[in-house]
Amino acid sequence: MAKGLNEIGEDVRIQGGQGTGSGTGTMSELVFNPTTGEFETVAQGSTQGDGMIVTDMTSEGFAL
Amino acid sequence: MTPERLNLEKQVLQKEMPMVQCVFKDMSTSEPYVLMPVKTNIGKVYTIRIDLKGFPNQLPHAFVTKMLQTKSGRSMNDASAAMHTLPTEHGYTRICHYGSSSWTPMVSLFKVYIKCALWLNMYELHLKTGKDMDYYLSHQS
Repeated sequence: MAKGLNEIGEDVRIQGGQGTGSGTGTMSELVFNPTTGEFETVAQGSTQGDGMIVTDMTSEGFAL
Repeated sequence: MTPERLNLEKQVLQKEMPMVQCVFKDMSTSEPYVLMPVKTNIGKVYTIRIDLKGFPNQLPHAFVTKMLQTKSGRSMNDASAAMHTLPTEHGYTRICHYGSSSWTPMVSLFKVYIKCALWLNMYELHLKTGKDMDYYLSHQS
């Protein structure tokens, strides 16, 4: 089932090393779906199809 | 940007996000840029502008092609660590994506696009929750 934006936000927060939040924890990956142009988070190792894992771009942080 | 690098960027964008129509503008001038649509997870559509002057050797400036407002109604037109923004140009909200210290010519426009698209999704979340952007998006060390 697709996750809501709230849950994705908490996963992004965790992937960026910011606390534990209420997402699915560090065992998730952020995936960019090239068909829909949307982000999804999935359990590590469970990616299927043509989604691209972009977790590294999140975990490296943003400027300022 | 060299023609070879431009072709490479176009190939990567076409391969990684074939459904997204990227429009390169004024490429033969001193102020080239690219427009790229972003659809957030809640279905709202924005346009990202990435200025290509000096790219890839210089960090490209990236914008949402409008002046966004925070949940409290403040214009996002200045440098804000909490909201990951920089001072406005073109009258647009400028997104803080890569820092100059972390930028290398090896970073592709696709990566910049992904960070901007994620920034926009977290902006939508900010509008919903009221939490600052840096609650979700960490700062580069």
